[in-house]
Amino acid sequence: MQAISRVLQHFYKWGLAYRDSTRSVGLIRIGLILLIWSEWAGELILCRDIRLSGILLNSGFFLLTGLMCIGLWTRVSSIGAAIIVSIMFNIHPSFRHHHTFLLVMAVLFIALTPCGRSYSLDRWLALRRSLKSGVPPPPEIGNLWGLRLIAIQVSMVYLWTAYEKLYWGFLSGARIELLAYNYYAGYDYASIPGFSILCAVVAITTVTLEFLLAFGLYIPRFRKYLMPTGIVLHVLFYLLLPIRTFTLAMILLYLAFIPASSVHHFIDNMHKGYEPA
Amino acid sequence: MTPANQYQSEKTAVEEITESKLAIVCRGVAFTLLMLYVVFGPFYKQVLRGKSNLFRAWRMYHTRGIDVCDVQFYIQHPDGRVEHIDRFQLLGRDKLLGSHHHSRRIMGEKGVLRVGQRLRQKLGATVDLRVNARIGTRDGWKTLYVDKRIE
Repeated sequence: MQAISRVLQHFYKWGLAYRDSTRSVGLIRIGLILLIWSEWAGELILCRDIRLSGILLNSGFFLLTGLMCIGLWTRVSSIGAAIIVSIMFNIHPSFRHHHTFLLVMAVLFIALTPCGRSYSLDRWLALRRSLKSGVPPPPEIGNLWGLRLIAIQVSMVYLWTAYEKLYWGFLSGARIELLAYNYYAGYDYASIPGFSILCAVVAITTVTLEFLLAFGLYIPRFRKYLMPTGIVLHVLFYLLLPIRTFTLAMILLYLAFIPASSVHHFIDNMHKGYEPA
Repeated sequence: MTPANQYQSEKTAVEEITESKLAIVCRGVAFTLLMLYVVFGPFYKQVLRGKSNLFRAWRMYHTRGIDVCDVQFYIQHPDGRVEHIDRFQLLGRDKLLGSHHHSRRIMGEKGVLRVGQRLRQKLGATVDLRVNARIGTRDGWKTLYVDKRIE
C-alpha cells in the first residue's frame, strides 16, 4: 500500500506538478504551428472553399493558429487553435495521416500549458508593462503537465510502431526490400551481393531502436546517446521516404524529454557567454 | 543577479504558490484521461483489432510496398541462349529514372503484363519475350511468374 502511494506521489510530482521554465513549450508552440501550416495551409487558403462555412472555418484556422504562433492572448488562442485543428483533422479526409494526428495531439497538449509565457507577444507586452510600472516581469515558469503528455505521446509512437513491425515479413528485411523497390525502382537490387542481409540488419536495427527510444528517452543516462541516434534515424527517414513533417515534428517534440530548466539555462548561455547549466 | 539565479528564485516563488484543490483534481482527471487515450488507443486498435475511428493506430508504412513487383524480362533465343532485357534502357532510361516513383515501379500482375506489352511492341512480335516476376506481400516476396511467355 505504501509502495503504491509512493508511486502515485512520484507520478503526481512528475506529471501534474511539473513546474519549470516555459521556454521549451514556447519553442514547441511556434514550431508546431509552422509545421501545421506547411502541412495544411495550401489546402486551406480561402480560394479552396468559397462557401461561407468554408471561408469562416478556414479563416478561423489561420486566425487562431496565427495568434498562437505569435503568442498573442495565448491561453485562449492556443485552446481555440487546438479545437479548430482537431475539427480540420476530422472534416478533411485527406488530412487524416499519422504525422498530422501527431501534430494535432501535440497542439492540444501544448495548449494545456502556459506556452505564451516565453517567446510571445504576450511576454513582450508583459515586459513592457513591467518596465513602465517598475514591478518585476512575470516569471517564465508554469505547470508543464502538457509537456509530459507530449513525452508520453512520443513514447507511444515508438512503442506501437515497433510493436507493429514484430512479424517475420518485416524482421527478415523483406518489407525494407519492398520499400526499396517501391520508391527506388530502377535498379536490380536483387543482384547486389548482401542486399537482403543489409535489409534484414536495417529492419532489426530500426525495431530495436524504436523500442529503446520508447523507454530510454526518459532516462538521462541513456538520453544523451539515444536522442542523437533518434535524430539521425528520423533524418534518414526524412531523406529516404516521403514522410513530410513527421521527422521535424518528432525532433521538435524531443524537447519534451529535456528538462525545461536545462533548455532555459542553455538559451541563457547562448545569449551570455558559456556557463555550465 | 545572474540569469541562472534569477530563474532559480522565480522558480522557488512559483513553487510556493498553492493551487486550489479543484484545479488539481481537474488537472489530474484530464491528465489521466488523455494519457489513457494516448497509451491504450493504439492498444485497442493494434492488439484488440478494434474498429472505432475514435482511436488511432500507429502503423506507419504498413501497406507501402505491398503489390510492388521485382521483374526480370528476357528473350529466349531458339538456340537456347537467354538475353536479359534492361526495361529501363529499352523504354528510355533517362526519362524513367528521372520520373516519379509511381512511373518507375511495377505494381501487381496487371502492371507486369502492361510493361511486358510495351516491351513486346518495342521488340516486335517474332521475339520470344519471357518474364520472371515476384510480388511483394505482407510476409515478403511471393513468386508471381516463372518463365512466362509474353504474348
